[in-house]
Amino acid sequence: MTIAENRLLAYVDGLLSREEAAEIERALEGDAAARELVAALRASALPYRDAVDALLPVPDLSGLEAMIHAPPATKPRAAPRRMAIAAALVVVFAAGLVAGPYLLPPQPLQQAGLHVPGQTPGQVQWARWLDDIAAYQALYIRDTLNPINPPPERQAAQMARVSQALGQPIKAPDLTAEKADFKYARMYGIDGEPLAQIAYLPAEGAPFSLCMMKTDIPDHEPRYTVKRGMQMATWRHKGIAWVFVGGVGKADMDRYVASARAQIGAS
Amino acid sequence: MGEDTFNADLADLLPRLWRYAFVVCRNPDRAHDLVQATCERALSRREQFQPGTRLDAWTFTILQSIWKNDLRRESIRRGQGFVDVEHAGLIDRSESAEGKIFLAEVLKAVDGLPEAQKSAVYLVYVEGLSYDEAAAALDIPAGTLTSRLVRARVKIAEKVRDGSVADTEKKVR
Repeated sequence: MTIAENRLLAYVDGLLSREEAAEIERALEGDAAARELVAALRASALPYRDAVDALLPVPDLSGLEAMIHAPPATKPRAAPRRMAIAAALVVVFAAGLVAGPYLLPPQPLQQAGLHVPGQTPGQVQWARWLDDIAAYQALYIRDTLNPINPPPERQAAQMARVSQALGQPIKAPDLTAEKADFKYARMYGIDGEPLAQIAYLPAEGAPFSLCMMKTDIPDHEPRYTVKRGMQMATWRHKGIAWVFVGGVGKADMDRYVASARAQIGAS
Repeated sequence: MGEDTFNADLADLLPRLWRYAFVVCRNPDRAHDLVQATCERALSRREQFQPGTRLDAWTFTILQSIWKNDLRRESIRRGQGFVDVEHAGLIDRSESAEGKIFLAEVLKAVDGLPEAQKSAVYLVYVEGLSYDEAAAALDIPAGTLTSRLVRARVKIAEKVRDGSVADTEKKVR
């Protein structure tokens, strides 16, 4: 082939001047390989942008938009940090930890009763993870969730994804009677295990979250602790470990937890 | 560019950033994390952005850097959660008209490319970056970029010829 590929690409993409295009066309007359490549490039001149516009709907990104317009005063965390914190949440949920306000010793994930198919994640530091969890939830301010008002069908789609990931139907507890609105449900994953978060914004005060993951530890009543001002409660019900995390008062948490547990049939 | 304008322009880019993030990492939640990390870095480095240049190309460069250096290895290590666009539950199949089927075939053909070629095709033919801008975003020489585009286009042409993508309604961009 006597013509450079990048010139042929620019020619087919219409980026050459009339004179340059005429020069390419003259050269093509004596270059069968180049003509074959041009035919392939023309055959693949497809409506790529139209395909993406038509078929890849963008989810609700209003949380990110709020972050851009009002970044938190604390140092922003990059995604890997969030994933590490999600990992911490997984272990706390699975272990039914939240045993008290004191530091706990490291334990392997599998001792925590977590589904860990075919692998041992290794030792973990409970105390640091508790700090991470509290610090993560502490990043939520009202403006994190306030601009988010997803339509019911989007929330339903989010919960369908949660239910599919956790292997059983999960309905987001309706806490409107407690004056707290369901904002969104989001999936995380760690070591192959799904982790779900449902974010709520109460009428007043700090946001809070209900998180869920699979567990094979038997059902138990809520266990409580406080870290960095964050109230936490964990309980298990029918194969799901539930965690309440939020910067709310104990009495408020008790109301939210009681309502959520009643709706899922745990009390 | 003032801070308010910069923030507003960055917010306007969110849907485009998310779609590109989803195309490269193939997981809706990881795409969200990738876009968040991109925005955090863009905000922290806004003084490095040169007014008069393309903010979209600049932020795609940041996104690609974070994906390549920080998140891609982690996603591969975790192994699960990769989905192709056809099974991601994101493709809107509410209309079954022939045009939509054809567009779905086009998207599937792009999704089937190796990641390096897919990124090149996406940035140039979906996002409208020039060859040079796309090469800068991917941190590769312009010649490598055009080579990847050619290889990708040849593969897609083969799919057109074998009938995987209907040979109709052609037009680039």
